[in-house]
Amino acid sequence: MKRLRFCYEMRLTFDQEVWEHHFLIRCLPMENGQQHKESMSVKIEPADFVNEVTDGFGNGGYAGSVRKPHGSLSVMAEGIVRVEQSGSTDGFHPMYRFPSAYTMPDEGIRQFFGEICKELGKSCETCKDSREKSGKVQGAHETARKGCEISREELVYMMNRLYGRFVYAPGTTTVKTTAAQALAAGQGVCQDYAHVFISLCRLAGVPARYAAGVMLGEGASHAWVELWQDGRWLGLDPTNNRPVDETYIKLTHGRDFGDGTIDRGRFLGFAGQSQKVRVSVEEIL
Amino acid sequence: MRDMVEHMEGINRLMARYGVKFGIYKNREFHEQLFPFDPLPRVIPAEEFEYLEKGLAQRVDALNCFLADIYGEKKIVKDGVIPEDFIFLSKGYLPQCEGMIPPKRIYSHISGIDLVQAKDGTWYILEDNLRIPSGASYPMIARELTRQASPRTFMRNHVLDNRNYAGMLKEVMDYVNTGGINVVLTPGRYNAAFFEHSYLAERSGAILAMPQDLYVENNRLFYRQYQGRQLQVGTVYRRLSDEYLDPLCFEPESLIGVPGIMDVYRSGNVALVNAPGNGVADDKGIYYFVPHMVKYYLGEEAILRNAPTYLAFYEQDRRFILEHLERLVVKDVSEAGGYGVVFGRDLTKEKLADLKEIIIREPRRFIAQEVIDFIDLDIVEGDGGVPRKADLRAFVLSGGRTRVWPSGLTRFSRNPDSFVVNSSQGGGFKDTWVLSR
Repeated sequence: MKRLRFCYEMRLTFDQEVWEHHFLIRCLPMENGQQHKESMSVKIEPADFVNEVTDGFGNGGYAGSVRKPHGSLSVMAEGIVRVEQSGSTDGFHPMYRFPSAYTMPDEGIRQFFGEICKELGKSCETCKDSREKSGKVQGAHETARKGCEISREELVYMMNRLYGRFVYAPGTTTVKTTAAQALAAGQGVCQDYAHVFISLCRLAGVPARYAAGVMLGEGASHAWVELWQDGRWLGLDPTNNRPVDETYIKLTHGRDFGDGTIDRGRFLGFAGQSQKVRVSVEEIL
Repeated sequence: MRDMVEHMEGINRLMARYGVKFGIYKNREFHEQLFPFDPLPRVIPAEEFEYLEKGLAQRVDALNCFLADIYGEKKIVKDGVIPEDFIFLSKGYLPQCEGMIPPKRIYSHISGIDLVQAKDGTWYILEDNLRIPSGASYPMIARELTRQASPRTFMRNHVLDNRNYAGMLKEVMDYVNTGGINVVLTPGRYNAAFFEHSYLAERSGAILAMPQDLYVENNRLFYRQYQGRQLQVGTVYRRLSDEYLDPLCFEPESLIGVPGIMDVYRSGNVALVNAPGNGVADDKGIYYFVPHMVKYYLGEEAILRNAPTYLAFYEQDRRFILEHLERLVVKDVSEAGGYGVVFGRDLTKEKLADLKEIIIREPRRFIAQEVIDFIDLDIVEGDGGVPRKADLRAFVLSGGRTRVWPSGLTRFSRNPDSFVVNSSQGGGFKDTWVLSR
């Protein structure tokens, strides 16, 4: 068990005033068997109103709006979170078995997956299939495969291989980059590592989901992957090539980046916007 | 009947003047065209309608149970009745709607069920439309105009009045209303069915609103009136598709939609008619399973039959499809509006081989059906009548109870060789008479 002091600051600045601004901010630690918020305060300014909301994935958040013209929006959340890895996780959902918009495998991902399977000495239908089919276009309707027995060690091996193949290079990808594009380029940020890894896991028949959150230290937000293994969600962080432990705090999860976006909004006005996020997590000893 | 034919031209002229039009996007341009009305009605005897009514209500009840199950416990999947692939790979399945319980637990309030009648008299369901089925306004206004033009016809024949559609619609909206006014939400003037939106709003006493007329405040939905007065909204009959409904929940780059409306809905503070996420129950893949749903949820045999359908997903069916492709009609499950439909008999040898390869590669994407030789109805052409293929869209309304509107939209193909009757493919329509005896 660890107690962590959590602080999330976000400031959205517009170069001209905007109005009719509606936002959804999901910057709070999730409350579940592994994470408990001992205390938490949130300030969002300016806002006409702010409501607490929940979505279909189980993510909480704050929805609100600012009607009057304004030049910035700032969010500040801080508090203390207790993290307990051995705690129970939430349940299974079959949607995490299937490819999603960002994680649709292409020929490149299939080939990479085939290589890994070969190295692992796997000759199950999935791998054989993916080798035979690489070269042909796979549509969105491809059926997710089931029944490929893959152990935790083998999943970690797969993460290792991805880590070795991929270079961490901020600025080379965008929020719209898909797993297929990222792997082809061979570089990206945590979001891209997570997408490629999710795509590989789902090919192996292992349900996988995208987790957005923060980890010990100072900097920006982070993303990793959760896999359904032996009746619970297991966190693996492909960007750092390590399992998720009690220094991680999860904010949202979903099929991919698109579902768990930490902030979303729409406004009227002809403004350009810039966003600054500062996250800090420190352990309370 | 002769009377009606004589008035045909005048009625079509009046409809053009009232703006009874249908919009089509072709080559990315918006074209409005008239939806040609044929005066010879489809006539359904009372007894036959009673049978259809029972079957349709049963089907829609089962579909509503299915939707509640899928966005809730998913028992039908756990029990192995429907494979997961047909739910979670469907474009219409929206995980954002997980766990949402709509007011009064109704998902499909207005269902447009398309049927055809085979030459031996058997009715077959062609497809279910549970998202935003359109078309009720056409027979409504056609009936109104023909009644004015030829009142005698309706005195002599025992035709059930169909002018109560708006009343039925209002009843449904009132039934699910969470407190506030009823609103018909239209994407605007350039929508294919704008005429219908304005007509139904006017007839049902609801306010016609554009997305920018609605806004969310403190978990309630409001309508902005001229002088800044705000009215709370209790029911939104939205004619805006799911992905554009709320940019904070669905398509983030959508410029239309009402930000935050899904949160209000999730809190139970507004009813959305029909519920978002219904697409999971009406794609062509899930169609195959509807008779199984009737059995599973209601413990009854389905009264109305599906057209004989094969699912390429199942190996046995796939083999059958590949062997008999030239006599089947193949449909892409993700397409609608008459697009993505191919008749095996129209294909060359090479095209058939290509299609087979695509089916083998992407089995989940296709269903194949026996071509039903459905009956022709006469339409007026020149001085006489010519037979044309026609289907029927029945409107089933689910409120306090499930009712079938005693009329419907009969669409016909103007092309003598075509079986495709969708209005977006250039067909026309007829009134549908249900007799009172």
